[in-house]
Amino acid sequence: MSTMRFVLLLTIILITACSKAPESASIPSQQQDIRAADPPAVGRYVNMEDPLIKEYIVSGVVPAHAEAQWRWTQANPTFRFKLKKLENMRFHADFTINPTALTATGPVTIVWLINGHELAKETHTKEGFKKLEKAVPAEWLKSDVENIVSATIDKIYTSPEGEKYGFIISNLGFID
Amino acid sequence: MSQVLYILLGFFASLGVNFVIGQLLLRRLNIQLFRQEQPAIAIVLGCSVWSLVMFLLAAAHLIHKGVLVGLAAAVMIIGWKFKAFVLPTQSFPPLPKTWKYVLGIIAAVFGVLYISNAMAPEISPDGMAYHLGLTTRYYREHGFHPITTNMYASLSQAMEMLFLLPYSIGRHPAAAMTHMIFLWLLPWMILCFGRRNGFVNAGALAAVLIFCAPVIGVDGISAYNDLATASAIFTVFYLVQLWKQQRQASLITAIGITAGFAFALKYTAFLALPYAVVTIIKELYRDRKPWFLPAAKVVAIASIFILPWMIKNTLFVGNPVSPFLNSIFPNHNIHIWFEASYKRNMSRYGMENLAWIPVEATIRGDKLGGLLGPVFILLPLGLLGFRKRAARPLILAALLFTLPYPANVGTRFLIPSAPFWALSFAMLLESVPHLALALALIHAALSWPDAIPLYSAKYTWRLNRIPWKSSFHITDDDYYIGRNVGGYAMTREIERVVPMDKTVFGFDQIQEAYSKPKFMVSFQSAHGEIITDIFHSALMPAYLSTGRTTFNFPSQKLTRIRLVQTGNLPSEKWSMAEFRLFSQRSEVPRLPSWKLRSSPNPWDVQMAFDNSPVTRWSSWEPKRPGMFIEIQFPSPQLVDQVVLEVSRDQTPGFMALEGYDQYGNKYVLSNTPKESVIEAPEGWRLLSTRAMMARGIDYFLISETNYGYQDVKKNARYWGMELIAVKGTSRLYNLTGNTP
Repeated sequence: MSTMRFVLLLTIILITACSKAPESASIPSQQQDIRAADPPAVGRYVNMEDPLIKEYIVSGVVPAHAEAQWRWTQANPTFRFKLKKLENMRFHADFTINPTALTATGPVTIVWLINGHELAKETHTKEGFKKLEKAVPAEWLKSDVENIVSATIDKIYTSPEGEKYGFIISNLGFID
Repeated sequence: MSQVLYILLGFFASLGVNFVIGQLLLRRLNIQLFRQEQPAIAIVLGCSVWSLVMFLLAAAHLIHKGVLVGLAAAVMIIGWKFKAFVLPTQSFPPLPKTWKYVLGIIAAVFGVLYISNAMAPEISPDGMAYHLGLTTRYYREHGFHPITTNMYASLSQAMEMLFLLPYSIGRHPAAAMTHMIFLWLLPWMILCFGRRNGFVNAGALAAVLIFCAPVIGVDGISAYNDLATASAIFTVFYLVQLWKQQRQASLITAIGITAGFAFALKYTAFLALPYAVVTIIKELYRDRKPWFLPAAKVVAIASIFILPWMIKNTLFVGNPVSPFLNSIFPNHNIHIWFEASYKRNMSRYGMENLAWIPVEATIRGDKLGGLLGPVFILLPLGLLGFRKRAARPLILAALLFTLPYPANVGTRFLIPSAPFWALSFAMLLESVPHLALALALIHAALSWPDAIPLYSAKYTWRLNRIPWKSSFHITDDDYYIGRNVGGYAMTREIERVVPMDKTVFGFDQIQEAYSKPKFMVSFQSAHGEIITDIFHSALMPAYLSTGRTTFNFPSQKLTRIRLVQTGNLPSEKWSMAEFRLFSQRSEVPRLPSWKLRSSPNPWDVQMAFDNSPVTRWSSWEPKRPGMFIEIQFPSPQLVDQVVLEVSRDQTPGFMALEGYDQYGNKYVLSNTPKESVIEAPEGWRLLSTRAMMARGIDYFLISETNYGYQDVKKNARYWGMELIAVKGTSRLYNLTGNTP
């Protein structure tokens, strides 16, 4: 019976020790306004899952959910970038030619423009992942103001639902 | 090589102490057992008592190597003096020769696999993250201190208590080898059960099924607790069956001890106690004998092993069974919202169709964290034996101890019931020994590491090979762990660059067994979830507090103002970043004399009144009518407008604003708020970092798969963070809170 008494005592301790929620609270110390900056809206390179992706897109990209790692373009996707350095920059883009789209359209040609200058013109006859990386003349680029990058695809795929798609873009921008 | 000696010394010290205590206890209780079964039952009983002793030492902050080793030495001397190493002379009839050879060969071959892996550096996910993570912390801090930021610290931890002694001598592998004791003990007891009850073939087959099962092997050689739990449950069953045959009163004590130990090892083993109690009552009631006192004695003795854990939790985290039942024991450490989502996740493991569980748990293994082997898919056939009287207790136990499984469908959560399923099935083959033998050999062959990939998924938790060099610690431990464990390089970097008294926050677990600084994981506590919320509130569009909910009403003098939730939205928490009062277009200054209340979650109510857009009060429960947040004024206060600053994840409406005048009369001030949105001002990233720092976070770990990684990587200085380490795709930042 002594075991039972001991257990009873432990049980009483357990019950009486249960924590209570606070009755009320007072006003806490107040967060003071701070003068802090946010990062510039756009930089020189962007992945499609970047939280600020909307800032980079000017037009021609099909909306996707916030953390989508790739997005469909339309006929003329256009992006903006800001550069601090102009010398020895290369333009880089990772994109994909969708097999269904390619079957429907046949070979497609994509022209890449940097601030209106034609950087590359490539015809794609095969589906799959593509990479473009090419040096950009410094005189094409601007510092402190936006640099506009656009691509034009000559044939557009129309889905059974009637949506118009170009190619799939994953990331693009300027590297050195 | 000295490391190997210390590992073995730690292991044998652990084995010896538990064996001696159990032997002395069995002698004291005058329980007569056969020579073969006594050591196994002695070890389980010894572990029960030793784990309780360790608990008491940890509670008294007496966990020091000298104390542990001294106590262990004292136990061994007492054991030697009282001849605790002497075993009974009465043996079971000898095993049939064929079984003797087959079991011997399987034990030898798998024994090499198991012992070599157990002796190698610990690389199991949970072993590194918390089983040994907590053990090392208790050892370092000489006992228990409240840990409110890790829900795993609130689970019952008898196994961690058993790790303390071997860890103090031989570090991580010695602890893992202590769990491995049960990998040998459980099949041995199954075999003994068969021999004692006259079904040798069934016992032998079931023992092989359990011993060789891939998930049981890898779990058993790791610093886990599943094999110990299964052994405790099976011992309760074993002793209850013995009591049914012998009705020896002292068996009641042993049953109570092991039933309590089962709970102390793992919450899900709580059924061992009701199983024992109901069986005893049923037997005595049927024989018209007094049943109350024996049943009460089992409960009382078991409680000695159960209640310490519940008391510890009550004192440390305000919930005796934390991290569960938080709606019954509301507390500030685990959110009800989290508990619900955790249970949902554990009951599915991301599986769309639960009908595939039998295939996943026995053959594929990748979705449920391990596999039992293809033969196990036949085990439910054991139910066909229900007509046999001898099989019935096993089948009932199999069904009973499978009951908790739907709550966590990981394969290893089948281990506690597996011995009963194995024995029930094997009994069907008792009269066809050649078939039993063939099945045992097939199962063993299919369970060997080289055979498993022939049928399993590519990535499943299992043993891959015999790591000769690593088991003898010839290769560098860090190299072995780093090669096998993703993220280990960052764990070691944290150990290197973060001072021990600092706290690191991260979204994923790290190998805390190999790192000393405190680590707070986002999902392991309410505190971690709040830090996550603060981080996301500066970044995630849905979490930015740019929404404004405005209640306008005729100017009134109020003594209390209460905002009441009227909606029932099961998929949404109620939250607000700020709750502001206005009078004649000016904000009413917040006074220290105001009293703030909220229900639920009264602990965080200040977060709605701290003038910070990145800290929000949240119900952390689904929205339901009657929830409220209120301000009580010391004297009547003139108010004509209330503005809530809310995030965009809040469904508009479903709120009523109530006011109370000085006479206590209640008025509905407004239930038709207007919604608007503002542009997010600059600087919320920095605010977020400072709010994290104010809650004790010094370092921030983020990996490529975590939300916000790209933003932090790109904009660290705008967050007030300084990059101090990069390992693979993980980045460690020091929180400075400095303006960019």
